[in-house]
Amino acid sequence: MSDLIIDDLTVEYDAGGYTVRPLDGFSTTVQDGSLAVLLGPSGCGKTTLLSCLGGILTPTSGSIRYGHIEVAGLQGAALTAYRQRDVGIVFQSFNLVPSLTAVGNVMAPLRAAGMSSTAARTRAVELLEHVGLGERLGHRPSEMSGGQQQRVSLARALAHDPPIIIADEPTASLDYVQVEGVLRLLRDLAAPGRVVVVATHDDRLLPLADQIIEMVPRFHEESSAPISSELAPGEVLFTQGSRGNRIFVIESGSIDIVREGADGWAHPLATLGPNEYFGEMGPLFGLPRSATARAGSETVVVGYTPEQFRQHMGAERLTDLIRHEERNDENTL
Amino acid sequence: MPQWGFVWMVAWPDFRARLQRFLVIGLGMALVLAITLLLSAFSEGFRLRCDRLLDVFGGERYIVAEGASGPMTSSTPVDSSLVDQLVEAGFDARPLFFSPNAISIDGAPASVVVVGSNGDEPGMRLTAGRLLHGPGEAVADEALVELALGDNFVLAGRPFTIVGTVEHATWDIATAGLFIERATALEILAGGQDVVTGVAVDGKGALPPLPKGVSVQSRGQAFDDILSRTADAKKSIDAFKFTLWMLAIVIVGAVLYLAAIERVRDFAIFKATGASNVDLVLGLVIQAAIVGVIAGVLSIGLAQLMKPIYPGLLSLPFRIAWPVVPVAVVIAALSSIVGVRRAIKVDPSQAFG
Repeated sequence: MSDLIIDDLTVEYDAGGYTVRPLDGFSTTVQDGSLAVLLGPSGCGKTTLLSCLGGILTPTSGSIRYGHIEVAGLQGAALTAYRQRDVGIVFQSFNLVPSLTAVGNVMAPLRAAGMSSTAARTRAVELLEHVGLGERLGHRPSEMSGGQQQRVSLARALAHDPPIIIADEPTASLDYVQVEGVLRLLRDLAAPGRVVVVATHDDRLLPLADQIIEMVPRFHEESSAPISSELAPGEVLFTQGSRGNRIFVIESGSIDIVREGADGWAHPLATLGPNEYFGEMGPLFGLPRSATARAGSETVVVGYTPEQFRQHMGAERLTDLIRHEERNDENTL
Repeated sequence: MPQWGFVWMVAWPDFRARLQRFLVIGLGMALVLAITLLLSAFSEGFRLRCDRLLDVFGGERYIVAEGASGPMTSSTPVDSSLVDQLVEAGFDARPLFFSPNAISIDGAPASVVVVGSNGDEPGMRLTAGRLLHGPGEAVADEALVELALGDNFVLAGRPFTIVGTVEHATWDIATAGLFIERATALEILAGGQDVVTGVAVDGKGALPPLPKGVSVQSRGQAFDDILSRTADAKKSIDAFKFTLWMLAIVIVGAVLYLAAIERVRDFAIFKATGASNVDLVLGLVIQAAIVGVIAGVLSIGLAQLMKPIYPGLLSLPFRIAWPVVPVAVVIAALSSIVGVRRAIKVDPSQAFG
């Protein structure tokens, strides 16, 4: 029985010439036998994390350990064996193979791992009966409801009785009648010897979770006055990819906004002066910073929480703020 | 090691699900292959023509001038006393006299091989009219389509009338044999000398000593000599067949590639659930191979149906037809390479999309 330990995980890729880090130094531990729910808005890295856990995306750095397996370092046959035996994946849109029946879809990973036809069929029937689809064995995905397809997907994930189950928005394509059975199955799966990690927006899963992992850190609203910071020339206020809840207004000096490119170069986007503000999009929309802010000279900035900033700007200016962002799309922070 | 059970799961259920599309590909491929089969049949027809031509004049062995290419293609004269010498030695010997020439039909020239005939050709079969009875008469091979029974033509300034037609006396694919009386032929084409261009010999045992300046050829050598005259045509046919195979590869490859693109999600799912690239590749190749088998078998049937449409002597025996099936499988497998490359490139993370 092992915990799933994710340590300092970073995933970085090139998107249109700029480096994007959906995961930046992410760490967490999922206890053995527990159901962990990943919470966060779209784009916060939930699916990226699941892809890494499933061994279908290699992180840029960091580690994922389960027992003696270092998932992030697997390659070739070892990676294929991990996908076959150690992890089961439940996809958002079911992802059943349309030409295969329910039994065929569950048998496929077993046959890919070399199990005989008879044994694979016996196991597939057993699993489908377990998820309540004993009567639908010979039906193709197009002949089944969304809930039934998701249960087939669950049965397929369980084919090798893997110790790690990951599920990406397993209830997103289901109506409330169909959700119940899937939720119950997911809860039952989290038992000693297995961890279940579910990425979801669905609040109905939260009461069932043993552990809730917020992919976007929540910042406590500070009631204190806005924070004033003095920056030396070249000092970095925040870096691209980091998260923060402060919007900054320049009191004096200047701030250089630069974006880190996939080519390793820092591309200057803008130089801002007194009374100009920056860093608004991250806190307002829960996104990581999309550029780095660095002092161009002796600079004083004041950091506001979004609420304080709204009061500071006034309601009319808030609309202007969004327009300001549209006008300076390249300066999105 | 491939997991063949899984490979079959990749190949067959999807094949059945898209059966109509695969059948359409197979039919298209079969049409192209049927044309290649007809070309093979045409090429095989050359061999048949050689045999038939030799059958017309008979002979297990032939005496020809030293250095002559062969009894059916050489017009180098040899002393006709050879025939009597061989008959006296107990052999069945018949004089041959062939002269590639041109005739005039209403002023228009036509190429023929003039045959000086004694009327004793063992394999000559009339298809219409009668045999030669006089010096102004001629019997033409059916390949001489410009002339029908009763038509006239001029050879070396002498008028002739067609009194009969025969089959299989055709040289070099389409050059017709034109039979006239041997004495007339010698008179107008050999200056009246009693010569032969070869002697057809039947009978077992060693031939008597032959004079200098002649040599003996077997039927096989005579056959090869005639066939060699069609070598260029055969090369062109082979090149055309190769072009058609390439065309089949491109057509089938394009469709299989589109089919592979439609299955990108399937491949991503299979990979995410532990399938190896090798198994997926084999699954696609097997699908292509099934298309190949269907196309190959269909093409044989289509070629047999289409054969009567084409004029000329086409021969499509089973030994020529069956190799099209493995050829079709190889073509289909090659066609699947582009689709296979696409499948290999599929990132399993696409299953999360």
